[in-house]
Amino acid sequence: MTTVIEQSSSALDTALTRAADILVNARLGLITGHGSDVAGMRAALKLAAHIGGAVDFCRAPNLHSLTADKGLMFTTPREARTRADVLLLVGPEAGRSATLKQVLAGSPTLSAGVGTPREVLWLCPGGAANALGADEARLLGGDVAALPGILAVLNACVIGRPIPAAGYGGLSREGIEDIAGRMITSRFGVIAFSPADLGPLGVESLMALAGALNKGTRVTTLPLGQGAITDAGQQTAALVASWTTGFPPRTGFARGFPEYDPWRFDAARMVSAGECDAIVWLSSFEAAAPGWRTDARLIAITAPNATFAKPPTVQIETAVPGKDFSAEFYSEAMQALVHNEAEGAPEAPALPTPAAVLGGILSKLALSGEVDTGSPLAKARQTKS
Amino acid sequence: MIRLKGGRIIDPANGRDEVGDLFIEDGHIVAAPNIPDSVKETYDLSGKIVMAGGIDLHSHIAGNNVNLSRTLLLEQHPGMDPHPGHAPFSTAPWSTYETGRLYAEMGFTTVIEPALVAQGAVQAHLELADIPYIDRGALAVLGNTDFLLKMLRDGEGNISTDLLDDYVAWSIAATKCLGVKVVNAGGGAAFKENVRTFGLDDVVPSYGVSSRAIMQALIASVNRLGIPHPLHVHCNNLGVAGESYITAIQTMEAAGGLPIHLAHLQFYAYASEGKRHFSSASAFLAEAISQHKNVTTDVGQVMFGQTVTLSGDVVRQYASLSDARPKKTILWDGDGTGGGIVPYAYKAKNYYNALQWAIGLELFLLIDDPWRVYFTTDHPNGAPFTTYPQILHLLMDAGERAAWIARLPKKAMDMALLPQLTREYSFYEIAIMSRAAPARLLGLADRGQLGVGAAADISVYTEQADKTAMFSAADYVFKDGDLIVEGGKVKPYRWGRTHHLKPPKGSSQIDARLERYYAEQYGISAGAFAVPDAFNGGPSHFEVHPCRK
Repeated sequence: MTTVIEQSSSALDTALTRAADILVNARLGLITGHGSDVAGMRAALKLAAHIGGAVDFCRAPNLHSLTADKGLMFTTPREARTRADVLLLVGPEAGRSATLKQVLAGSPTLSAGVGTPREVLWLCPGGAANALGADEARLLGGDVAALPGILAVLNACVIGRPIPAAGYGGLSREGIEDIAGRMITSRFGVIAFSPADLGPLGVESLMALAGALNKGTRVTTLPLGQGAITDAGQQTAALVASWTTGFPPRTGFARGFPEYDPWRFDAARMVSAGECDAIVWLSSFEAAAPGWRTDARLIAITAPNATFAKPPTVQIETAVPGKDFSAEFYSEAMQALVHNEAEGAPEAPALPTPAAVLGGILSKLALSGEVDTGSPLAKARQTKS
Repeated sequence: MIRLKGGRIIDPANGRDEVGDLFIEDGHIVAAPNIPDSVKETYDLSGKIVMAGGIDLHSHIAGNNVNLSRTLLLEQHPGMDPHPGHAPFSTAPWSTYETGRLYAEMGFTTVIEPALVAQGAVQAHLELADIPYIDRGALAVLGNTDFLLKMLRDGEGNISTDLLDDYVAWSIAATKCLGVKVVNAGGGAAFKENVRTFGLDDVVPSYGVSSRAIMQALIASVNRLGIPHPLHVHCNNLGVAGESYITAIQTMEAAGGLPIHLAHLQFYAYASEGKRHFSSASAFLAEAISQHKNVTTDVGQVMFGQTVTLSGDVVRQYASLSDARPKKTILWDGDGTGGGIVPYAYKAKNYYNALQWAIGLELFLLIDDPWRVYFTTDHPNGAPFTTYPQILHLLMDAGERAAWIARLPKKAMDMALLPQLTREYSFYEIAIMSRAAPARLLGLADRGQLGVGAAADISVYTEQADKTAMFSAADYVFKDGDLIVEGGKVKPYRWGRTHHLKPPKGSSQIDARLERYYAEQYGISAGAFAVPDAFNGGPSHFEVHPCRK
């Protein structure tokens, strides 16, 4: 059953009408999930703006929103692969990353790195220590929980400030000095990390460390995703939202323009507080269900075969971007939005695309006379004037 | 058929400045009909100024740097106004939708993103596609990739021009661009090897190739390929007082008489006279421009207020990190060219900023050929593009300039030539600078002009003494014959096109060679970043133009 209304198989058009009906009658609609391709995200944001709802596609800590306080210094996996003479991994997720494998598969062939084997060090590997072989990375130890502090102590060491004689965070003083020394003498050092391990404070510490090292040599960072979790949907959502609304996708549209508020529009919080009475769950790459339970009416638009603890009111299965149809979405390996040709896929996929479903709901709303005047508030304002 | 009746038509491309009529049919300008009945709609434009739609050839409106800046500076652009129902997101500050709306309302119909890097090509084109109303295009940044630098190194000055040309052609075709740009040629590569300043004759370590050699190779290649837009050059030493203007003049000379476009010249027009070692070099540069007829330039005018500088010149941006206001920055080492994002506030009370403002206007006023100097703020580096109406006002009205000068620091104005300059731009010159000339320079033959057969991109303004007010809100704007702005406000969304070149394929088996190179070097396909002919979810919005050869 590819399209279902209240657990009964349904025609797609009927499901779109029902979904539109739910959203029209909602006090506050929320669109959330694991994200979609570019066309899907465009349609999701248009729908959110039309209903004056909210969106949240910030599943994991989003690097860009983490850096809004201090900024960022980074490079691409390809430059790390071809140039890094010293590669310092920090945190467990960095070592699990599939993209890291691509970096390690090459050897330094450009400029500074040429002719010397790359040195790979792993700070705070935690429970992931077995993800890389002993010949792939030298383990340095360190407490994962103390990572932001360790990075700050490393920074202190680099800029010549005193550091604790007893060491810090499971590392000896000599151990810390060794790491700092190795980075100082690197010629194109790269520090690879996952925002999930570091959090805002850790990212800020890391950027301060990179900044200090650049006073003398070239060091930069390489942001990686969370191990095996594909970030395609979430990263695509973040990029499309940024150029469409100016903000990361934790945004409300109730006032007729996008308002970014990472607390107020946190989907999990909104659901548990009962603030939204209709939810569009959008997950185009994974057959994933939400981690929360809700009494709100749920419209699930997902890759095939998602199972829900509580059946959604409307469930529509969609074609998978890049597999069933050609699409643009984020590739962590490329660190870019790329076009993905669906090799061998039939010209017209058996299932509708996510963008077609979301666009279909939007046209039903427009047809039902629900003309978008910006938002309920904007409407109220216009009535007043 | 639409008749635009009785406006003052200013069309320098066709030598026309007179009161008259224009007729539009099927998106084009057509001759007056023999049968008057065929006119279905008439707009009475008496008392109005009619020009082709404005063309901006250097405005950072899409791509990695722009999109990263949006998030980095999210507290700087809160929303304020609900969007009209027919144009969602069009009031969301700094969104692509707002960009299209604001350009259209000022009467601009074509805008070029001047710094598209290969790895960000798909994203840049997706962003461009989400800019409503206007047409777009982009310039491909070359000059820092390992592939190119090795080619130049290994050829020791006698490289196979076929291979170079094929690489340039391949880059343009894969990233769907309208021309080629170099940004501090070789500087991005040198920065990765801890080089912190990079001049015209400095050499990229490991490659032994100078910035000059890279640039000259690309100037020649662009010329051989018949790419209409000359090599678009962001020179070395941007902003380095006492050196930058000399570098700019040396760059003009290095072109050896071949066409070259120098971007945002204001940022180079700095000498180091006076107590603060910062003074105007605009007269030297204006003189050099008048001598080098192969050179065109855009100004990169500075206006006061908060903005953000974003650039592929990582050497320059690294040096500026400590100037960031607010104190947060992004700096990335890309494949080849990377980027740097440094927020900055130009202050009217600041000596340097006030002089920068004056220097930009001096360049506009001292360069006497409006066919070779263009109108930019290097958005957003010098100022947001929304300051264009104010700048037009300053160029057209010496009294307005005097009023501004009176409010600026005397110490700065004493060092400036501006207070002595009395020239005022005419409407005709404005139409050359912002319409006819950039269209010609980009090879968009049917744009920037109002002759029969031209695309009906037309902007209509009410003549007013207050030029800021006049150019802020066009009375009417037509895009390919459709009315997109009326009374300074946009109509429902209408989608323009992205113009790009399709250079001919060469004979050096570049595809196979690059495929091998990318696989060995990076473990990916050479076409991984290529832009498809149509994106999913929409028909192709690209318009292909030929090279001249």
